[in-house]
Amino acid sequence: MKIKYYHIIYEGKIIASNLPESHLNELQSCDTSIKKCVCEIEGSHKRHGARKYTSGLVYLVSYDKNITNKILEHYFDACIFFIPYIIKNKEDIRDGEERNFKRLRHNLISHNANILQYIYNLVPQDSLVLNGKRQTEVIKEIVIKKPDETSRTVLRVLKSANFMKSEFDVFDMINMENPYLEFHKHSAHKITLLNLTPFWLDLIEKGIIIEIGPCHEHVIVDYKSISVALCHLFDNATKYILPNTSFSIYFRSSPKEIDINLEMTSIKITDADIGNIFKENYSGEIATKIGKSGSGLGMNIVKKLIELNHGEISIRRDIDTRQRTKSIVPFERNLFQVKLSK
Amino acid sequence: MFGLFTANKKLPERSLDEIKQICKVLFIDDKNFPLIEILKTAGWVNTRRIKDVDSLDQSEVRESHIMFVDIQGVGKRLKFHDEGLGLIVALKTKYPSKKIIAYSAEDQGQVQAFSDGINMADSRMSKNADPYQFQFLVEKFAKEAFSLNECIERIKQLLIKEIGRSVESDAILKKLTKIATSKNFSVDEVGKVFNLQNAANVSSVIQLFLTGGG
Repeated sequence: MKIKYYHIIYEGKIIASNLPESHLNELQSCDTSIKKCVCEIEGSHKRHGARKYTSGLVYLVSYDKNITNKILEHYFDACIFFIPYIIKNKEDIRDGEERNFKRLRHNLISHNANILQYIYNLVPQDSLVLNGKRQTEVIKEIVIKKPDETSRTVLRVLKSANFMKSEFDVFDMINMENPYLEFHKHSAHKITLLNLTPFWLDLIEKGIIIEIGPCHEHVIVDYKSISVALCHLFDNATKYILPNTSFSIYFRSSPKEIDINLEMTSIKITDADIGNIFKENYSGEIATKIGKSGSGLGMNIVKKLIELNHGEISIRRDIDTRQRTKSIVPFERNLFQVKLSK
Repeated sequence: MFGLFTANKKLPERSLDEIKQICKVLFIDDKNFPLIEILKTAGWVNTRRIKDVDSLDQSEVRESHIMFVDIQGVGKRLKFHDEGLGLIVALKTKYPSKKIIAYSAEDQGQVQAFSDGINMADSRMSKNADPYQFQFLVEKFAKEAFSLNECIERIKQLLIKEIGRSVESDAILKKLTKIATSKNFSVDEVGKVFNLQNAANVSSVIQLFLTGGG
């Protein structure tokens, strides 16, 4: 072993060290030149030296008989050369993690705020405070008096809670090299419907006619990750769909695959979009113009999740030119296709 | 012991409802979650929870077929230093044919670090999962144990491993019926009927299917 002990200081902090406490005095008494001496602590010859550099100090100790001062100088040079890169790498990783965490925190706060507010909108906070003993009575009265609003509130709370679940699932997955996946045979129809459910109410309220075709076959997927992807696609559909049009979900089977087709009249996908839509942080042109972009995960992550499931996503825009709108915000008939293995 | 069905000449295929009546699901979790009620309402009537395990031989553990083990907050009474994960290793070692699912509110990234326990679990779930996901898994494992077709499929896979070739489902069914009729699913008998050197795994699968025990 060429270098037995190292002690590296960067901006006043020890960033790497295996120097035993017993040797700390040696460091104090060492100046910048490399000295060869008999180590009083370990009883053998050693070379050691402390080299200062712009951001701190490197102290190296070698007991190797074959090492010379010149060789040790090279070790100092290499060390000092690499330190800024290692620090930058560490900071990049930390920044990346911080960004992910901040995004998670922000989104969870939003969803949680929605949940609280949906409920307090139905059940005024004061009514629960002032009627501590009668809380269940208070709620019963509201349910009886406002059954429609109560139903909608429950569904909205479910939708937000489901989003929170998605956030956690995604956070786990994007932070790991090899996310844990469990592949099972799931009914293609069922997993599609399960993920559509939280958005049903919003779609109905927009006057959307939802048509779902049959499928009796299974796909082999990791439910958790494919759900996040499907959920995001349905969330986008809900945001960008033209009210009072049809949303057609149909399945096509081939020998090895099932295609889940989501056909809808939604905001125009431009030429720029089609080339960039799967890139990180890209927002659709029209979506940006109407101010409805950027609150989701990004098609980039949707694509990654689908590919983790050995699937593919493709987009066919403007599939029926007769359905183009002449409005200020252009809408076209678009098809999103998710291919999954049987 | 054979109360699950009489020794007919033909083994009946059990319906999902029948399987739900037989299958015992145990949650080992210091916290109570509504999920347990959700499963019961869905027909998994023998679902229960214990807060921790006092002994690996206690009746709830011994009799269960599927166990959900929380990786945090349990395994303390038996003093496992990595709590639920240590418990999973011990349970899986003692009861290799029981299905054990590690479930948690833990960040999966951290869990990977404790590799032993987590790799021995038959599956992992987040506590955040849908009722659909929990029910899917329970149904899958329950069918593996108690559905005739799945039992035959499992035996087929074990035979491929043991003797290196596939045996026809009909042939397996005949042998299984023979064992059921004779009421002898010991390792020796299974070895004779299936012509196997090492019949321990097949015997275990058959015992579970026929008696709901083992």
